[in-house]
Parts: sequence; C-alpha cells; structure tokens
Amino acid sequence: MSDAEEREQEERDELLDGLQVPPHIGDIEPNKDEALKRSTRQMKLMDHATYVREGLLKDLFLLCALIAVAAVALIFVFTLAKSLPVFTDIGLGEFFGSTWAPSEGRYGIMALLAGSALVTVGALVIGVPLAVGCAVYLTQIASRRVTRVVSTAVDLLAGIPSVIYGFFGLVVLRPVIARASGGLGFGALTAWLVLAIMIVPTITTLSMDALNSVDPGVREASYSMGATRWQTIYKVVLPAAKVGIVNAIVLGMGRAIGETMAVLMIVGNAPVFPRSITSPVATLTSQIALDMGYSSGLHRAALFGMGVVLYVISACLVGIVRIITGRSERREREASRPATPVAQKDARSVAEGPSATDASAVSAQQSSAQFIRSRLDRAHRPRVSRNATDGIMTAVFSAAGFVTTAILLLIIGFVVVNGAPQITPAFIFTWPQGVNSEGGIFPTIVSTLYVTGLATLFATPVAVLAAVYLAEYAHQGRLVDFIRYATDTLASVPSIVMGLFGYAVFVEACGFGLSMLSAALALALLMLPLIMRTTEDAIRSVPRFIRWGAYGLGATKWQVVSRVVLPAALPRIATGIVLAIGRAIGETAIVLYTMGQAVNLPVTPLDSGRSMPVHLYLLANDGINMGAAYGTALLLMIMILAFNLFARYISKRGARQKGGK
Amino acid sequence: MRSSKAGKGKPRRKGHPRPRRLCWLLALVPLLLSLTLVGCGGGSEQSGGQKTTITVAGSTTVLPIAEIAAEKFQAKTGNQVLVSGLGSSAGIEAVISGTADIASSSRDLTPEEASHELVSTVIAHDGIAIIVNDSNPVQNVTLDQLRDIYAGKITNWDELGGPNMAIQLVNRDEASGTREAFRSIVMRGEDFDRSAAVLPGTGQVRDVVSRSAGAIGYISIGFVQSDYATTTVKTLTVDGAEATKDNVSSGAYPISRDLYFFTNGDPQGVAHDYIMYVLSDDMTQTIEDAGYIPISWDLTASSGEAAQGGDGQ
Repeated sequence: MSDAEEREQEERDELLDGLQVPPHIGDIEPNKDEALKRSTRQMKLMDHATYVREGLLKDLFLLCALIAVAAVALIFVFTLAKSLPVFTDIGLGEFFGSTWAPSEGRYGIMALLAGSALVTVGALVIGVPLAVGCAVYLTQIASRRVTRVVSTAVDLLAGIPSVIYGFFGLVVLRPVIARASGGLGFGALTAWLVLAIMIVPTITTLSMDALNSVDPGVREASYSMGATRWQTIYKVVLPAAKVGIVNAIVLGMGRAIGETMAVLMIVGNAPVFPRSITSPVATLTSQIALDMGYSSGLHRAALFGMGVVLYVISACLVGIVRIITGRSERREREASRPATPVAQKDARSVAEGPSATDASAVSAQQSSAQFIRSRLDRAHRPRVSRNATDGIMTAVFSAAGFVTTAILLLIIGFVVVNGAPQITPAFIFTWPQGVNSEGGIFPTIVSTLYVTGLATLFATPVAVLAAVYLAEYAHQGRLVDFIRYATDTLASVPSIVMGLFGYAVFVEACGFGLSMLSAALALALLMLPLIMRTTEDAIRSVPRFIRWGAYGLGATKWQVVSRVVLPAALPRIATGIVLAIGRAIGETAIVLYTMGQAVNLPVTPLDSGRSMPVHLYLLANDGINMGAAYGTALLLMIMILAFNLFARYISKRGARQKGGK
Repeated sequence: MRSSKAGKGKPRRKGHPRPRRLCWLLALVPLLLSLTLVGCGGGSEQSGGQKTTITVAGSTTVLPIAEIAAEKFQAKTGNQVLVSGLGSSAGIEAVISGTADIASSSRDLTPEEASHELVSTVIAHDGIAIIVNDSNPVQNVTLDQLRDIYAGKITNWDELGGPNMAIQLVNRDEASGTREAFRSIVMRGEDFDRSAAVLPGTGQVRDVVSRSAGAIGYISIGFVQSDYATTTVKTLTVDGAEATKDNVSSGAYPISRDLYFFTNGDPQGVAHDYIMYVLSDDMTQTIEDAGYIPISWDLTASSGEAAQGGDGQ
C-alpha cells in the first residue's frame, strides 16, 4: 500500500512544482501537506470558500468510509448485546455443549458446529480441486475463446442465488441420493455437492487472478528450459501463485460456512452429531434461519450467540487472508530488494501506463530465470514418463473446466425446462390466488425490485464516496488499513448474520417493522463492500498522468476527482454497482426475516412484502404448487443473469472506448 | 430502482452533467440520513394509527383458510388482509410483539404464551394423518407405537409387522403447530428423536415421504390428497381408526386438534370483522375444501354423530 502513499506524495510534489511554490517553503515547513495548503491560499489560487468546500468534501468522504467501519462494529456489538443471556443465563459451558433442544431449554451448539464443519470440509474437498483445476485450465491451457466462454460460465454461476441452488439440490439431487442411499436424501452428502458447486466460482475467479498475476516470463522461461506444461504448472506456476490460491480457498471456505438457504433446504435440519454422510444434520446457519421466525427469550439469545460465533469465524478467516497476503508481500519485497529501483518502479506501473524500459525488462527476465532454475533444481525427478503425465494432467484440468460449464448448463437447463411453460403474461402480471398460490407472482416481482432499488439508493452514494476517500484522499496508514479490513469483514459476514442484525436493529430497535426499509437497509450492508471494492479498484486504475494534467491546469482536488477521475472510472464503477444489484436481487437470508413474508404490493417503504427468492423458498417448502416455484426460479434467474450480462457489457464497452481513445 | 437506473444511465451521458449528478448523490446522503432519523422516530407512532390493512401471521396449516378468507373479505369490504405463514409460534410471537394483528395457530397457547392477554377463537377442527410410502405394507399403528417410533425406540418396520427396513423419521420444525399438536397428543411427555429430518413445510413432508420407501411423517388431513402433487402417500390407521374428516368430527380418530385465531385483547374493528367472516357460512365450503372441519358442523354434531355412530358400529 505504500506505493499509493508515494503516489500521493508525488502528486503533491507535482502540484507544488506546478504552482511554482518558492523553493524554501519545503525546507521551512517539514509537513508538505500543510505547506501546500498554506501556500496555495497565500497565492490566492484557491479562495476561502473553495478551500472550505474542499475540506468539507474530504470530511464527508471520510464519514462515508467510516460508515463501513461503523457497520462492522455495530453488527458485532448488536449481535453480541442480543446474545448476552448466553453468558449470563445459559452459560458458556452449556452453550458449547452437545444438546440442541430449545423446547427442553437445552442450547448446546457443538452438534451444529460439527455439522457446519462437516459440510464445509466436504464441500472444500470436492470444490477446491474442481475450482483450482478450472482456474489452471483457463489461465494455462485453454485457448482464448474457450477461456472467454468458460469464465463467463463461472461468473454466471457466481450470480445464481443460493435459493436456486438449494431448490436444485432439493428437487434434483435429493431424490437421486435418496435412491442411492436408501435414506431420505437429506444430509451432508447432498450439501457437499451443492456447496461445492457454489464455492467453485469464488475460488476459480480468485485463483485465476493469482495465476494471471504470475509473471508470464516465468512460464516462458520454464518452457524454454525444457519443462513440460504439467511440470511448468506444477513446479513453477502453482507455487508462484500459492498465496493467492490459498487466499481463494480461505474465502471459499468462508462462503461455505456462511451459506444459509441452500444448506437449509437440503441438510435435513436434525441438530445431532452427524451419524453418516447421508443422515440429516444441521448447521449453525440453517438452524438460525429455521428458528429465527418463532424463537423468543433464551432461544433467541442463543441464535444471536450463534451469529456471534459465525461472525468471529468469518472475521478470523479474513484476518488469516490478510496475514498471509501481508507476509508474502513482505517476503516478495525482501526478495526483490537486489533489483534496481527502476525495475521495481516500472514493474508496478505496467498496468498504469505504457512505459516499460528495456533495462527493467531485462532484469525482470533475469530474475524470473533465476526463479525458474531454483524451482526446477529443487524439484524431484518425475518417475512416470513426462509426456504421459503431461497428457493426463492436461486432460484432468480440462475436465475441471468442462465439468464447471456442464454444471452451469445443467442448472440453467433444469430451471428453464421446468419453468418456461409457467411463464405467461398472466404469471408475471397477476396476483397469487387461493390455497396453493395459483395465479401470478406480480407482487413478489415488485417487492424484489422495490427493495433492491431502495438498497441500491442507500448503498451506492456511501460506497462510491467511501471508495473515493480510500483511493484519492486517504493517507495510507493504520486508519485506511483498518477501513479495508472492516470492508473485507463486512463482505464476508454470513448473510444470515446480517439478517439477524437487520432484524434486531431496523425491525425492532428502529421500529421500522417488517418492511421494505428494514430489508433495504440490511441489503445495503451487503452491497456496500461489493461496490466499495470495485469502485476503489476502478479509481485506482485511472492513469496517473490524467490527474497530473488536470492538476497542472489548476484544478482543485475535488474538480480532479469529480470531472476527471470519476468519469474515467465510471464504466467499471457501473459494472460493480450492477453486479451488486444482481447479488441483492437473489439474496434470501437477509430479507427472510426483515421484510415480512406476506404477499403484498409495497407502496411506502414501511410496507412489508415478499420477495421472489422468499416466495420461491416458501413454495419449495409447501411443496405443492411446484409449477409456480419453477416459474419463479426461472424469472429470478433471468433477471439476475440479465444484470450480470449487462454488467459485462458495460465493462466491455468501457474497455473498448478506452482503447478507442 | 431510481438509483439503479442512474447506475445504468451514467455511462451514456457525456461531459458536463456528471458533476451535477454527483452533487445530487451528495445531497442524497444527508437527506437519507434525516429520513432514517424521522423514520426511527415516527415508525412506531404510525403503526398505532387507523388503518384498513390488517396482518395475519402464523400457522402454515391455517394458511389456506386465512388466505382465501382474506381474498373474499377484501373483495367484499375493501379492507386488505395480509396473510403470511411463518408457523404458529412465530404468529403468536408476532401478535404479542404487535407486528401482526391476528395470529393463526394450529395449537393452543403454551403456559408462557397464555400469560399474555391473548383472546382465542376456534375457527376449525383438523386431524393429523400419519403418512407412509405407498409401497409400505404396514396398515395400522397404535398411539403408543407411534410415540415409540418418534422417540427413536422403534427403528425398524419389522417391529410393526412390515418388512425389514429402517424407519426414516420425518418431523416438522418447531415453529409448526402440527408438530406441537402431535407432540401433545402422541408424544405425551416423551422427547422427539432429534436425529429425525426436520422439514419446514407440510408439502415437503408429503413429497419426501412419497419418494422414500422407509419414511414416515405426519401432516394435516387436508393435505393428504392434493390436486397438485404428482405422487401419492398412504395414511395409516391409528388405533384402528381411519384418518377421515368424519372420524375427526366424531372423535373416533385420536390425533385431532383445533385451529385458532389469537388476538391481543378482544378483536376489534377490521380484525373482528375478518374473524367473523371466517366463521360465517361463506367460508364453510372453503374450509371443507381445504380439508378441515368447519365449526358449523359442531352445531349439527348431535344428529350427525348419532347417524355416523349408527353406521360405523
């Protein structure tokens, strides 16, 4: 992060030079920032009003950035406060006991923890090889066209809401497993398969980033020394991307632990220690979602206590990722110290401007050749014939890529084939009627769009301005680090915990009741980190020289940000917002207990309603009018896939425009 | 909505409008904050005021009755009734906390709940059928056997005269009034086997049992026959009595219960009108169609029961 600080300094220096500040000011005043402000005011380049406005804007941005921190802190404090009876009345010994039977006053969560652990570990065992294999295939083996198709498939898989995965598991996988095992088909095995599919996109995308950031020279050098593709991948590329892949796996693990709806629908919800992989079990998240609606007193406190446990687990995982990343960055920095400063600087700016010098390229090649040689020296000699292994492993990786695409097609096909006959104008534009929700789903569509729109309205300004602060204004240091950690944590808080928080704060404490407003505020917390992250990346990727140009023309910071930087970053920001909207549309666990479940056409924000994912979940539970469930699933998926494809279109168009200029 | 449009619209504009847009966004922040504050203060007051919309929350069993009544009631009077099925306990909790006007419930109040000033109205009777897979040859269970099955003491169908096949227990979630009624009538103080699968919906129980050979479950009699389901289930006789509406009404079938509406204090205004409408003759046929036994049968019970008793024995 120190390069950003450097960049700030450079910008300031640049600005100072541009303003032709008397040279002695820097000597007299060690704090250049202060000096700059004072000098600019002395020189009447900035009138007082502008100066004040700039300051106020900066404070406003800081405030927005701190909202993320406040949200993280509030979620923790509120969930903890609501779970206080766990410490006072239940007792930690009982809370971490093995019997979960709220009706008998027993609140031990060990069996649930065991269920969560079993489900997560199994999902990782199946999902990680698939995901990493897929990432390797896409970055190292596949042709560009195949990569484009498969990575689109992976992105779309990431966009499918968890309630549809759960529905798929319930309707398709469960009967298959029931027949194979002779049981009911609920249990860890079903959850493994579904969760494995769900974590593949997370791990694949992040692993691809890690693999892509491996210097291509390293790979070329390995080939040139006679290594096969498999040897290159296994001995050179994978070790070089190790840190990124481990991070991806840890984040995927967080996703698996926090997943609620899909798990709730397929584990069978028996709060006992797992007897076999096909017997019903329960997890922390599924138990919260199942009990939240009716619990009271100590039972509810125990649910909040489980929320705290989940929160702590996900915060720890984020912490682990940061520690791993931080350590590897430090090691890299130490390792690359012998390299010339020029090389270092240019290596960084490759992404930002076309200014690589020959000297740096040569030195980069030299260092990567060294790296390869050391890797290959250390490697054991392969026992099997090189070519056979190479062929086999290439096939394995390719299979991973094709399996992922096939799964996407299977799920989409399942929903489309069953749902398409249901979709009629009447289904979209009329109300549900009668005992089994015959008729249409119009109110649920409106509720979904209403709540998502409201949430976008809340989240977007705050997230964008916070990102502006982080990328443009903030001095890199503890505060910014902390804000980033908070944002990452917020992004990884399981959605059911956000639902708990939303219920405790917006529904009860604020008195909004079960309403669009409550649900939208809770959803905004989900969208906030997503938009913040993409916006910050987008702003950072705006070339520096554009900024310098604007400063050189005498623009103030805010002018530079609002007229130069943000417009340039807009396509990517819009992409981030649209993706976040897609995520919010499909979110179930958050709205389940903040929005109410009555079918209603919301008018004011204080009205309650039932969103499409919730409608789908309830229809699946009722298990009677499955046609309507398929129809809802299809419409929901069409909406989300449309948003995702739209986001890809925006980002692609933005890239094309940039290229055109 | 509006903002999502702004998000989409942004890239299309060029040049000057952008900063103004940003200013708008900026202006929105304090506006939203103040809205939030106003909302925080005003929310609770508003809910106490006059309204023509009432909320019914609770049992999924009562859901069909409450929903159809809501539609007809709305068509008749123009007052809107929002119905949601969260489970009986959730509904009662919602009425106590004031988030719902009427709780629909398929069980009576627990002592803890009875300590609040809730007024109950019985709206219909219902029987709970014991369902097994079509392929299961077992015909009858006694109440005691049923209790042992659900307590995890009988684990194989051969103990009931069936094939050597493990019993797969299917239970309902604790929010369910059906579970509560089953617990008080069948379990009688015994605890449920907690390793049973817990499913959060009547239809799901039916579907799962219809597809798993060794499964056993319990659902409201009204859901045993379904026009929508592609599969069928078999009901077991309990202590020799078949799970039919007549047997429930006559009391021959042991696992039956009442369906309730609960209100916080005496029902008033629209809530009162709605409850009266549910009890009116308009709804009798609907309640029968949904598989339950209307209250009006009670009035003719003396003659009806005598006739049935004569037929049966």
